[in-house]
Amino acid sequence: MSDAFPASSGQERMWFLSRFEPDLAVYNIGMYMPMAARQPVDPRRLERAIDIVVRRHEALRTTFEFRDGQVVQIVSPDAPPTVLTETDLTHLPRADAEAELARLAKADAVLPFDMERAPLFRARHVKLAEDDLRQVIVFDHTIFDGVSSMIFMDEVGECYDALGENRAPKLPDLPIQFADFAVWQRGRLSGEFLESELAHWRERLAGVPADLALPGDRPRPARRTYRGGIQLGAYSPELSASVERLAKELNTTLFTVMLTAYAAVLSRWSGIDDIVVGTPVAGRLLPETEPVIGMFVNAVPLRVDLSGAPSFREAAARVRATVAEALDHQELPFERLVEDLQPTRDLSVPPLYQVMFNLAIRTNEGQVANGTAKVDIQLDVNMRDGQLHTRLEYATDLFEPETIERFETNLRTLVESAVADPDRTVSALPVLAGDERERVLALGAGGPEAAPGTLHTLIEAQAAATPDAPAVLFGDVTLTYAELNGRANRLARWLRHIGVERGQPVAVRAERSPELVVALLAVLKAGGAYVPLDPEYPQDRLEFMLSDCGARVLLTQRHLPPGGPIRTVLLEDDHDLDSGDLEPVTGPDDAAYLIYTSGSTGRPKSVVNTHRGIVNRLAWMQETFGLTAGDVVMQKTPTSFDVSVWEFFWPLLQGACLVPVRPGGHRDPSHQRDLIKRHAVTTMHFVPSMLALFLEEANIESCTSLRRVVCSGEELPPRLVARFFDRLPGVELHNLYGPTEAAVDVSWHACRPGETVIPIGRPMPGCRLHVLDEHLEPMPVGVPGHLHIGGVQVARGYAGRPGLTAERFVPDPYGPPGARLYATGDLARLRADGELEFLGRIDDQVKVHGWRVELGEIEAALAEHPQVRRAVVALRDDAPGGRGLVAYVDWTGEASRLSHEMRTGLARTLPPALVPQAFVQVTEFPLSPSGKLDRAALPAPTGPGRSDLGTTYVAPETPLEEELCALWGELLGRDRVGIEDDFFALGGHSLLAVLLITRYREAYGIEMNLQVCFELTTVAEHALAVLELQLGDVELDDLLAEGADG
Amino acid sequence: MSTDAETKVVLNDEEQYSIWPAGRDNPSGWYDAGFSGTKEQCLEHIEQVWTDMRPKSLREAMDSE
Repeated sequence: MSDAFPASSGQERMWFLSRFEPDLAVYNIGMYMPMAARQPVDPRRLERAIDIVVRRHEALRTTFEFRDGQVVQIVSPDAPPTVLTETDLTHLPRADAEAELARLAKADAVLPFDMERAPLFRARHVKLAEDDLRQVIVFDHTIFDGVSSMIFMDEVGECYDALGENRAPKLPDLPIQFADFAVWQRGRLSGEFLESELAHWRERLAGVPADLALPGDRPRPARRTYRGGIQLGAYSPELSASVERLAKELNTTLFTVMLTAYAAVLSRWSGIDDIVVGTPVAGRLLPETEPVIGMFVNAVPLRVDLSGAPSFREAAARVRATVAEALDHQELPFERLVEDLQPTRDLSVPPLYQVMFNLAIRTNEGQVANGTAKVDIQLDVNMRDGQLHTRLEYATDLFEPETIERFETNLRTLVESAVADPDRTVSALPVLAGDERERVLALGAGGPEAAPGTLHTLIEAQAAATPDAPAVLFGDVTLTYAELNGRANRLARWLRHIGVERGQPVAVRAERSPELVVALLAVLKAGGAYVPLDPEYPQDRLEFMLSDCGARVLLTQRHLPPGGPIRTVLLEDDHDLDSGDLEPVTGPDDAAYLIYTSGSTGRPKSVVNTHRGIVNRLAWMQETFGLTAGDVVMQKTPTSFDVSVWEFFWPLLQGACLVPVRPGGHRDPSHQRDLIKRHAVTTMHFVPSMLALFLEEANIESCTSLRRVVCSGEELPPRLVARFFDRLPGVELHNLYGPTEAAVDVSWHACRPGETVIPIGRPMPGCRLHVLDEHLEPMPVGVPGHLHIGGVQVARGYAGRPGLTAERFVPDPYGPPGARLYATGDLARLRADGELEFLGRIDDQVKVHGWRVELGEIEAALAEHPQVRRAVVALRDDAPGGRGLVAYVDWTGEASRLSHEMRTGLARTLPPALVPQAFVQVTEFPLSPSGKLDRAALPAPTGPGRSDLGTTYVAPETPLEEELCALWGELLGRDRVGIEDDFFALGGHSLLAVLLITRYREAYGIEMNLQVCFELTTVAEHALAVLELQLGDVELDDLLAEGADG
Repeated sequence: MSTDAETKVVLNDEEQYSIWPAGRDNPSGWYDAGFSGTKEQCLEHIEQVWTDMRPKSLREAMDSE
């Protein structure tokens, strides 16, 4: 007669997972039996030895069932005799036999157990040779743990020997069994004790980051697969001894030192200094439990605080205190903690902590990996034979083996650093060994810089070479190179005549026109630096810039409003002066242009760029794209945006033709299309927001002259790249990156069809791009850091803003003596292939409900929907339900379907916290004058976005919905459930979901998949699902259609 | 760079100013300007002393014209 006991909460969790992921043996424990001293092993005797141990320990005779809404463990009084699966590999060569053994062991370890059938272990006996017989045994974790494995091996060894010696085995008495413990534990974890433990952990874990979000190779899938890999390592005996010495010196343990080092690397990788690491505890606080086999093990979260720049010594002291405190509160089962702290289920992220750490007391040598990972990264360390062995188990959902190798190397280097100088700040301890550091720095360096020059002398040389070639085409007006150069010379002479001197800023406010091109060139020829002022800017902004930049002369057009008290030169006026080139007064290090950038805070500031920088930038462009006299470049970017600098000057340096778009035409895709066709434009620039509009324009396929499109200024979404190659096959698409503070662009990536991530590419020659930490040290490959730019294109600074310049242009430890780096404020990471990925602005990282959110990630997920033209997500204080995310969607579907479709779509790909609180339908997005998205101008989320907050009661409409509402209300303990209410929002959890399925089975005779409960979460959705299951093969759509007809 | 760490004012041969952690060796080609304090104090100091932002070599070339 079998006995039934409630399962422990840990067993419940594993049982649930086995139902949820029936094909995965996440919690199998596989190992080789240590029988080397007993060769040749007699399989019959071993079977009998195992039987003795099985008879002693109830856990080895236990199975599980789901009865009356709870998981119960069934202890059977007797068990079938153990039968070893026997495999003979003696026919194989030795090496092949070993490999086959490893394969068999893994196959055994990956095979899930049926929780309702005993025994929950399997053993295999493999004959490699007559005198070499190996045994692999695999247990289900629900009945077993690490300490159990030691007990099991010791007892089986003793029984085997005793049987051989024909004596009774000497085994310890078992005062209790696991089920006794489970019952006792259930009683203990109630009332005041439970409340005080929960209260402790609630306080201790308040505000922990919901996801450490280690930088992986892939975004987290919406559902974890639990698939894992293993990376093994061993420290040298010298380093291992040093670590033990350090532990002694710090008056602590190897566990604490290694956990501190581990947390330090995790902090470096994640950019978070509040690291929660889970660690297993034996869970055998009662002495009676010590000799018993069963699942006693528990896990406790260790919250490691690395804030305030502690030294390694100080950090280790904090860790030691944290560990001691956690051990004082180790009895609360992990799953109770999860239920209490994170009741809403998120299937994508391991709850509470995403990393684990364990110091194995005995060897972990005999473990058989089963290809799973319980968390994102788990580090096991083990000291044996004077060497520290490391074992990293990692989620292959996120990481490539190479990435974990880097993690391991980073950890080892940090351990070496800590051993060498434990008083150094943890955040400053090197994680890159010398040669790797050099390699990373070298990856950030472009080639040698171009020959220096000045823009105007290069154009003068071109004008001399091709005087009659068309330089500017605008409407019916054509300026040849000779005409352009001559007019610019006359104007330059006039400017010098009225007092413009070398280095002086000269304001230019003009609409796109041939005169504008003449004006910019004339300012440079006169020796000045041009300051472009967008005629579309509001008057007060123009006035501010005019007075701020210190210009004494304004070049403008007659029809524009006057610029105030400043010497004004009208561009319509020609000057009766010499048309020959002027004696140059400026060199490569003189300023060429000052362009204002607004930045998120403070007043706009003007960036001073030199001829040397922009000439280098244009030399790269020519080297890469080889513009010829036959090329036609569209000039559509407003002068106030630095992309216009290359649009103006690159073609003029090469004898190509410049085609300015008419005023306002930079916002008009159909005009651009017509212009491309009319003038056979080959080359043009788009900010991605504008490219998105252009690609939806009709008939752009007819733009057959187009050869290359250059993008910059915003992130280029993969979907837009796909759309581009779809609509403009055969045209090149290039993604460029750079701030105004570094001569337009500093990196380049040539896009290819099918790319899922669009990097910003590699550094241009003469430029260096370094991803650095707060100490200006290089970040490891793949780890996000602050992007810094060095090299010849770095601007001189912000005009008249010495403090700001000193703050953003910092000493460059990696360049020539005295060089400066521009701190971009951008977050980026270096890929192993040397390309850089842009990850957003450092200031823009938003946090929602404890999650660090990349708005771009959510936008990309929204844009996956075929009926979404474009989506923008903003964090707003006025979101319905309080501060949160609002999605603005250009939606081609039915307005009433927007929220529902988006929510259900996102629920499949994003963690719930990243699903916006409201969805607002828009038809266009506000753009700044430069064509970039203007997030601040997005409308307040009122109207249709409010309708679906999930809080309003929607009454059931069908008898089935009525029944389901009643059933949910009963299960969830609620009076009234509406059809749009969310199961989990109402307090549902995983076990209730199982119960729900059981009730559905009883009431409707259907078998709903558990995963469906996590994907469909409202009564209305369940009603449909139940109906579909009841109907079986009948097509529901047909039936509904018939109903509608009838 | 941490805002509460003590910071110093540094300059290079072109007499361009910047800031650097007070306790750290200067990168090659950078020299102490003889002022240290909080980051804000250093930037304020630079605001006062860096009056001509042209690099020294350019300044000299222009002044000799």
